[in-house]
Amino acid sequence: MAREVIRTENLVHVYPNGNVRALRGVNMTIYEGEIVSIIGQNGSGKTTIVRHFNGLLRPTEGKVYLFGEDTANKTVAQMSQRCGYVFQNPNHQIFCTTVREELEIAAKYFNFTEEETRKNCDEVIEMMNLKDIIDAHPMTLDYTTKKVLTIASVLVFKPEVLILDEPTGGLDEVGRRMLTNVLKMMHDNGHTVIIISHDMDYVAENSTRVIMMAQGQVQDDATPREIFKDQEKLKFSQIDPPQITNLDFYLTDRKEDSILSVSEFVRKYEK
Amino acid sequence: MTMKSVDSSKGRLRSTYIAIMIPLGVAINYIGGQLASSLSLPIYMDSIGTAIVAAIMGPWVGAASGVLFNIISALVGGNIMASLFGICNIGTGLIVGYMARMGKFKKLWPDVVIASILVAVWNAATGAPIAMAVYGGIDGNAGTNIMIAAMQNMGRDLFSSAFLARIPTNLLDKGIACVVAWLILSKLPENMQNLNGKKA
Amino acid sequence: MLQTRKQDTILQKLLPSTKLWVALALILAVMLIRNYALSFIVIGISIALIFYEKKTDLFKLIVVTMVVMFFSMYGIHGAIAPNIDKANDPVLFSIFGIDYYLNGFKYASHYYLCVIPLMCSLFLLFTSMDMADLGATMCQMGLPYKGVFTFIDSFQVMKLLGKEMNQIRDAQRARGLETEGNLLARFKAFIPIMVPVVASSIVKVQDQAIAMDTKGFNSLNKKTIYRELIPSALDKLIKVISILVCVGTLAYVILSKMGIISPFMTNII
Repeated sequence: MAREVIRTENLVHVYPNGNVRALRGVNMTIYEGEIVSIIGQNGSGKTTIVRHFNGLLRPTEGKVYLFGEDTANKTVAQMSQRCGYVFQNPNHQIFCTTVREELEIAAKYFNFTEEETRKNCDEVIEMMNLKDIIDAHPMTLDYTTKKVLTIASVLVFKPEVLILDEPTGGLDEVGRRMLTNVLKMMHDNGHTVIIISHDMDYVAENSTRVIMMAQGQVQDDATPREIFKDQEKLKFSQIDPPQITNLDFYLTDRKEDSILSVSEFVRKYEK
Repeated sequence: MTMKSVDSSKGRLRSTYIAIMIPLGVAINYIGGQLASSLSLPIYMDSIGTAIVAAIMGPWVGAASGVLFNIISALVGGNIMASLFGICNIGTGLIVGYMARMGKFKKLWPDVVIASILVAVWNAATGAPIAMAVYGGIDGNAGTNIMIAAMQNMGRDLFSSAFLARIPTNLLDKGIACVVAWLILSKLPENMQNLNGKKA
Repeated sequence: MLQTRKQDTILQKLLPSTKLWVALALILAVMLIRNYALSFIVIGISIALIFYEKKTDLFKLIVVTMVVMFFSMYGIHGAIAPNIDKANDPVLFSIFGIDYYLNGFKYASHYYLCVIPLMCSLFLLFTSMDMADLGATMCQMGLPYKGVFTFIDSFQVMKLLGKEMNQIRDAQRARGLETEGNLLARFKAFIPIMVPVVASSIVKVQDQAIAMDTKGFNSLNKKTIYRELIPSALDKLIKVISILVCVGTLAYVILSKMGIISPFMTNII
């Protein structure tokens, strides 16, 4: 049985301005080694809930547990060291004058030793192919590279949980492949990845579990195959399944299983 | 087809840059003040935008940005007469802008330190008579007021007390703002540090 | 009409030009006449309207400033204002051995009761103004378009940059930046938050400039305005009253200084 990493109990969050009830009693458990995608329309509560996982938001009611510990008395820094968060807009995280400095800065905030910082940086530079731009000014980089850099800057301090907010937005094919390698690496190391995404193709191909949210509540929580099969719930949550899944649904009356990729589709219809 | 690189130094395009940078300077001043307040720092930090815009676009654009900030914050805060403190911000813009134009805003010592001192003295010298005219010498700044009261108690007149009390508070506030502006500029890529083109 | 604006209350329905006239009238009347009764009337009406317009949340910050200013001005001027003659002036009361004089309070009131009514009334007038309408008004008054744009855009950019700053602060905190603790720790948090705010704005400047140029910002043609600002009967009435107040104030001040009329609006105490 995999270890529980994050658990929420009746989590309610009401934003103070405008009294928006963003979360309405969410119960969710995430386990070690999972690649969980949280999907839903804008305003469904996806970003609100993941911001509770590293303390950026605090519950109005209910509890959040990180590795079994109540987060009520933990600071953002304490939680962030175990639960890294990569923001959607890379420009929001970049402020150093070289790529190397940018990679080292978070490790310094978390009081890593010089040696640890250098070792971790070198590993990440190798993995993310950043050697050629190590002395470049981060703000002069193109969007994809900046995004890769912000992911790298979080991986440097080796969080056990990695939260990615819209990671594929603006990424080219090289960037997407790099991201997939990161997910695979985290998964192989037994770590957990949580993705917020509108990119259903990417979600379908890379997730082990999908949580669908709407109106501040969990509507469904299952494997990608199960989630994209239930047309009614998808409609309620205003989510379009991957294009290949939709195509399969139009072509067949039998809806036992959903097709999640082009290769599966070809295999099914080649018969 | 190759794109010509945009030259912000002259002509009507420069006026477009000015129309963008002045509001940006106002906003940076405002954000600096908000951030300092949310971090519970004992200084205002609301001249950073003036200094940054002056260094990037030139002294008069920086000065305009500073004045507009004072006018807008006076309007929003309701204290219309506080807009007169825009005269202080004009000085900040001109001092930092001309020093940047002469290439004297690149090193912390002695350039930025000298700029900070000049800005502090200017702000104290112009702030005192404005505070006298608008508030009778005592404004809403508790630190300055306590120093003014102490100096008056020792026999100094109100005006010289108002001036002298403002030197340390301005050195701390406006002086640090200059240093912070320099730090921020030093972290930007070269091509963003100066949009003044050949006029720099 | 292409635009929609919030116009639930009488104040929101008034045009910006009307509010600008009222502001001018208030500034002249309060600053030039310096009558305590007038100041208190303006304060009273403004606060009542602030509650009616439901602007109390924003007004709380102004109240803090007013309270600090009150204690500073009266607390210091009451004891050591330049017009106090410690030998002859009557002492109103003593606190902790410090004597407070009537002349000191008069000196403080001369300034305090000028600043506060204007803070209350102008705060109300400007926060109830639609910025796009204000821009249209300023263009109609003949001010240059680029100047008006720069002025109005400042309000917009302030709001946007404020939101960006909150996002950036969260992003840096998520990488371990401490924003609480001792003064040095909090001071150190300033640069990692301000640099991305400034840099991400400056990065966009070139693209913004090109976008504005392609939309005719630098066109030499006269700009047209799509906002229809039709003055109501109330707008016209308030404008006339404001002009009369402006003229009346100036006339009163000039004539009383020349000795032609007695200064009947001087304070009793």
